[in-house]
Amino acid sequence: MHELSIASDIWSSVKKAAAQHGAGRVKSIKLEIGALQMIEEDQLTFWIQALAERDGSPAVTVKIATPPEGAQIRVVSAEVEPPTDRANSHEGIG
Amino acid sequence: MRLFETTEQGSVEIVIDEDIQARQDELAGINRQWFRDRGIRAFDIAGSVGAGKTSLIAGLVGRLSAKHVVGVIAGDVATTYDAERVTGRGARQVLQINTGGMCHLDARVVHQALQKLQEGIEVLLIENVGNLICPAHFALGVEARIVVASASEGSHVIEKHPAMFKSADLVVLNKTDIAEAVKVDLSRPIADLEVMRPGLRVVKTNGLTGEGVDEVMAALGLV
Repeated sequence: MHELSIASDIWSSVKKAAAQHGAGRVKSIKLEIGALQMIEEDQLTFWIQALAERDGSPAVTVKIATPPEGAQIRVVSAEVEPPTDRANSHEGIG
Repeated sequence: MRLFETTEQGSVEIVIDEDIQARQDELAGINRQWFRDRGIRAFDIAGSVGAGKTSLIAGLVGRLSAKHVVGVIAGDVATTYDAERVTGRGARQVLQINTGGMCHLDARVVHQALQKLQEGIEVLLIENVGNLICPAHFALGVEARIVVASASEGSHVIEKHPAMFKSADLVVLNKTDIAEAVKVDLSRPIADLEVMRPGLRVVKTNGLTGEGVDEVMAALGLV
């Protein structure tokens, strides 16, 4: 069940980043989770999707890569609907 | 943070690159400083349901209260039974955290509880939620984590829960009195710990009689 806490932290991170960019619905999230974390990926995905749906982003795809070493839980990126104010979105485009 | 246009469907990829574990560790660091600023020695007592965490805490509170001002935070999914068991043993304050389904304490919920801690507490014993898996990755910012395992959890309890025992600063093997009855050879978990964590201190206890609690105190430098 600690997957729920971790899912909650991950979703908060994504939601904050999306809000900062004025983005719309979140479509997918890329994560890296070290093998040492002993996290059940299906459960983690379920909870992220449940939290996302609650906040208006149904059917989020969660892509998890597992680096062979390390114990990190890293939110790599999120694919979102374009910012509603495109002028703002160009700030920092790389 | 940078944005990337994607080629299909006009979506945008936001590069976040945030280490969630680092955030947990950062919150634990805030608690560590909070304890340091107030001169509080804090300990996390973790272990399975029924391992003997509350018995150990009750024994520690009874002994420590003569010399120190002791506080207890009891974390449970529900109910206040554990808090009630240690009330009256001499603790200045017993705070209950009902996690409402969360299977572990984390630095954030502990920090919230600390806002209600009375001034003057010198030793704080934090009882984690009964669970030998989930608390492993959630540092609370304490001086030491004591993981309690009992004879009734079987001979292979250490090997089966590597993350938890790797996070321990002290291991307590409780219910030594029933080891023979449940056909568990306690030399096995001790040998497994020596392989996993060479040199890690292990103390055998009997929570019913209080045997071994003085050794736990000595191991924590609480005499």
